[in-house]
Amino acid sequence: MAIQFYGRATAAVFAPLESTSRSARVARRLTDAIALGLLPDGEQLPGEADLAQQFGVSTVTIREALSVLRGEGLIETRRGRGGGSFVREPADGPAVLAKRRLAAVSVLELRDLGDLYAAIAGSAAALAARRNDVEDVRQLRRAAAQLADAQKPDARRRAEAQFHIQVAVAAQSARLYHEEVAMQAEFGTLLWLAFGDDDSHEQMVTSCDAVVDAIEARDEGAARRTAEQRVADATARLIDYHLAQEP
Amino acid sequence: MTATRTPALAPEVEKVVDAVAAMAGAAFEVVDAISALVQARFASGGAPSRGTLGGVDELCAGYVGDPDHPVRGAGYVAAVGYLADEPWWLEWFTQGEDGRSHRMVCQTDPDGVGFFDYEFLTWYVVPRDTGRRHVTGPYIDYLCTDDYNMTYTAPVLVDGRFAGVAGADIGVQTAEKLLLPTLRVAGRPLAVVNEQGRIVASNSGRHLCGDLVTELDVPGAWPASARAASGLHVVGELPLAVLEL
Repeated sequence: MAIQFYGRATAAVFAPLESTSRSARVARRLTDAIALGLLPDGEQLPGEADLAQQFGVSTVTIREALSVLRGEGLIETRRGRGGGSFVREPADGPAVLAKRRLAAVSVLELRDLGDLYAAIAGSAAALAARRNDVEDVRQLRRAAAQLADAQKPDARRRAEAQFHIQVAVAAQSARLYHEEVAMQAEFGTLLWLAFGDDDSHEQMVTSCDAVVDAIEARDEGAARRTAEQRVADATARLIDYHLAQEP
Repeated sequence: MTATRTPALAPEVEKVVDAVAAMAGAAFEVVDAISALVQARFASGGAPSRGTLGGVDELCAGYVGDPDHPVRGAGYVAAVGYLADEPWWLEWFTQGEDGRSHRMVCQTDPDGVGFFDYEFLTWYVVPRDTGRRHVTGPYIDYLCTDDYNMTYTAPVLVDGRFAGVAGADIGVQTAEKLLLPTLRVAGRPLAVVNEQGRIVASNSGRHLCGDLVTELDVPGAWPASARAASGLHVVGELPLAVLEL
């Protein structure tokens, strides 16, 4: 079979639409939500038909994804009246899910995720520096203060996620906002394995304050740089953590 | 609603002013209907509760589920602590993928993950603090529609007490559809802006939706006394204006 050559510009047109199967991606999305604590232990998932509609896939795909989750012990399905699929958090906490995933990824993949996240976070911060109004700065300061005050790792993670959502909101870009949320699910879950302690928290608070300062000063260059630097530092910390784990 | 008209206003600019007024009028018609219904329900006595809000769903569905109506989300948001059974409550309906009206389900437990803390949001705060209607946006509505949105709200007063806000959403894309026809034929650069100077729609590729105009300090030029010769035409009492660029 000949491999057709379409040239550089057209190659993207004929690239595969999705590299992983739909059911695997649905399973990943739900696993991330459990790992993030968005779907707490005992929570009942919507029915198959509802899930199919929400994800925009067939019920067959949903059934495949649920069977993967069931195999991993992350959901339990009860039949009959009051039945359905219920979340079962791993006994040693949801972080174990992220650890399992981290163990399976390469340093190169982490670098690649970090590069993409830096591009998204940097662009969102630069646009926020251009487009912010008084109210945006107020909400950003409020989010930064909540992050600084957060004590438990879980509260810190949520406050940090909220801060970055506020940056994307100040950027006035629906697409960047959606990319930020997707990166938080895909990469944020892993990043948080290396964060949450007091030392990393202090570093995080300082870097978030620097981002707000640059946004408020309408300094697009500084906003982009500080946001990119924050992601680069976080990625480096995660990779160091990853390398320090038993192979 | 009638638009403020100055004698010097060129007809092509006036058409844009009228289009903005018509868009806001469509939204506030919904807001006023919701407000009237909620007031009537609460006026019937007894402690206000979720159960008192019967009929808001059908009223909202009539607008939100109508493909020819620009409003795609509407409802009543209770003043914090006003309802006896739910300290935080949103009786809110949005258009689903199927084009029909659906109840928005959100986390109203302050200790829950993803709690919808609306007490600090502009569309709630401004009507509460000023007692007047407000237009919020364009903004990324990450708590509700997950999209680029404008929210029209007005305070609901019961016996002189703030009982919450009635509101209606018009998406920024819909706003563009409503405003672009008059902007396109205006024959000169114009932008529809909010009181922060944020662009809702314009007829120039250099003045994009979401950007802040740099030609004029819009917040500074907003008061009637400062408006003369600035080319800023405020639409009625709204926080929206047409700016000659």
